[in-house]
Amino acid sequence: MDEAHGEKSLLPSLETDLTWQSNNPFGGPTSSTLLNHRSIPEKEHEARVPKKILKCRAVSREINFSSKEPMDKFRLEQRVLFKGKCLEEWFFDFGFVIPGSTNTWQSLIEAAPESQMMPANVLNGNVVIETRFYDEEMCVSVSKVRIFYV
Amino acid sequence: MGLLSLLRKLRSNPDLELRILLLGLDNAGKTTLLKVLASEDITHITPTQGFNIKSVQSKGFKLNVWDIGGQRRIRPYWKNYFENTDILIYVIDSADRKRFEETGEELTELFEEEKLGVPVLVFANKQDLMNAARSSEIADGLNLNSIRDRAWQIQPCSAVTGEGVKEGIDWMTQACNKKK
Amino acid sequence: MDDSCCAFSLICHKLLARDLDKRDKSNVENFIIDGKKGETVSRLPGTVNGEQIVIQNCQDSNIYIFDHIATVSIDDCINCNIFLGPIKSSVFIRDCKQCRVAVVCQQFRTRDCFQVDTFLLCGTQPIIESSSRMKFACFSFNYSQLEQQFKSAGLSIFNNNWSNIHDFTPVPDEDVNFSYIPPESTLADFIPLPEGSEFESLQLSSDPNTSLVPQTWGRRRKQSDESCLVVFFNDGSCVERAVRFLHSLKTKNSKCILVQSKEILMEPDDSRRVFETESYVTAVQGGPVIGLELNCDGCVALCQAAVVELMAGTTGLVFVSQSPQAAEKQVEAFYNFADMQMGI
Repeated sequence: MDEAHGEKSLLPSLETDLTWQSNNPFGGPTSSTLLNHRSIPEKEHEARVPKKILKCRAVSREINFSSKEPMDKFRLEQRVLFKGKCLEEWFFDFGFVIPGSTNTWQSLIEAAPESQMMPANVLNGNVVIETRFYDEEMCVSVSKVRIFYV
Repeated sequence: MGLLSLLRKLRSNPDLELRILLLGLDNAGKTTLLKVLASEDITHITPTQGFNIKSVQSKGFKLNVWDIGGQRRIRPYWKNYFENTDILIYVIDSADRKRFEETGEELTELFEEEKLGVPVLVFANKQDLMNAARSSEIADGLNLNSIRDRAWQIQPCSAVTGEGVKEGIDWMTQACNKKK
Repeated sequence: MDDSCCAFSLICHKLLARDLDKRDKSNVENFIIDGKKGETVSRLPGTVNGEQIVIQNCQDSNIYIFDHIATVSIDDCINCNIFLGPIKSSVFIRDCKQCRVAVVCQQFRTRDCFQVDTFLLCGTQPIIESSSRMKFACFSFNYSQLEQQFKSAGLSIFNNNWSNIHDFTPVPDEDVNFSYIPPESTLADFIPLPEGSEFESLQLSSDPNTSLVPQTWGRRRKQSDESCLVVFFNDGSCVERAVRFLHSLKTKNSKCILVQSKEILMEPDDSRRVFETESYVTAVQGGPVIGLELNCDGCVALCQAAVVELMAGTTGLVFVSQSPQAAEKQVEAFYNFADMQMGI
């Protein structure tokens, strides 16, 4: 309980925007924004995503965040959960965050080969993308987005 | 060009993860360069109020490019981003003659940082502007020729027109792949 | 040190040097306004033509640049009036005091300034550093070539963040570094219009009613709790239509204010998220849309009536909030989207 309280006290100082974008850096203007929201921590959001994103060769994810306070060891953990089970996870260490700053992080990852991808109708509504932000070991924000493939 | 192709070029480096740090005074054009490296649109760039990071990952290799804001107020925080840097790109506004001294002082301080003993690529940016100084003039002013402890290069460029950027990247690729 | 690199660099030097030499630099002084004392200096349309301008060491002078410009630095000026036409990238004001500036730009930056009053259109968030007693107002002006010069500089009259100032060096618990100029003040109260026959053909006007840039209320306190979102979809004439709409609102209710405006590209998926309907999926593909937030009591009904009147007999598509409750959510969704798109 105490720890949960500690989390909340830091929440107002961190504002995050998340954008997930599928894009095809190998040509063709086939980029579409997957999700674009100002996260309200703790609440699960829903996103409707075109099925074609599963065919994209590379997926770009973008996160913007502002922080009034400095942070020494800011980092994030991002997980793709299928029915609660972790399919993929990524970690990134930002390190120091300047007080009063607004920051952006864009990450481009070459996607798994299509043969390893589950079909959209199996994934639909069962995938949650969870992003947890930490300052060292303290969790400062969590965002959960449930994905529907349309 | 794009960051994936840059990553492919840099892949002969034995490290699995590469970190490029972009520094320079405010208004030098660091974010514009970052976006040019990533082949992105540069018509709507806002002054940086912290950092911008671009990461690419392909077949187990990672490249992270860090662009840190250059306002006087936040320069003391630059040191937090030195660690594990493989290459420093220092960007200068070649047309901002009033601040050649200021940018020189900042660069000199960076050269004295132990954690940042890495190859340095100096981009003499904004060569497209009427008032731009030649890169040779800037190199003399910064006394770059006295540098003996690291690989360095000054490259005239215009991030806006793209001129000179590829040449800088080519040098960086060589410097990076030569490093053990 | 690698010799081949250095040799390579020398070749680059030569290439760039040759490119630059092709351009006429003999009249570089025309682009540097230096050391003027009690003078009036002006540049007419076509004389700067997208090059850089440097203004420095001037005192008690009037400087007018009625052209589009690559970038501008203003250094060490005291008590000057400066008008700058559309700037493609940044304007950087340093070590200036007691100046009045009117400027249209993509980026606005100041450092070590004191008492600079600015009538501003800025495509991104304006920043100030180590500057105090700074005042800001919405850019309000017009002359015959201004619209074309906006296009040359790649700027939109609807993307204006003039009031959203970021202060790198705020004073704790005080708000002394910047404030807003009262909305009833006009640009001409601060910067005198130049006189002379050479300016006649320009048809200079500081009348806010004929300003090319729509007057936005910005971050000042809104006067009513009721806002309305109006979005014009791009069919080639949406800019002209949005401008006509704003004029007609003004005649219907002078208390109605434009809080903020944006001109931005939307993908079909963005339109689904923002409007929560499929209805605009095709419309957004026509090009950048223009989104306006209006504010006054009875605003939604007023906007609906004005749009019906405006669109009578045309096939264009316009989105208007259906109710004050829906409007609140739609305004937030649209501008959140726009702010994130324009993040960096």
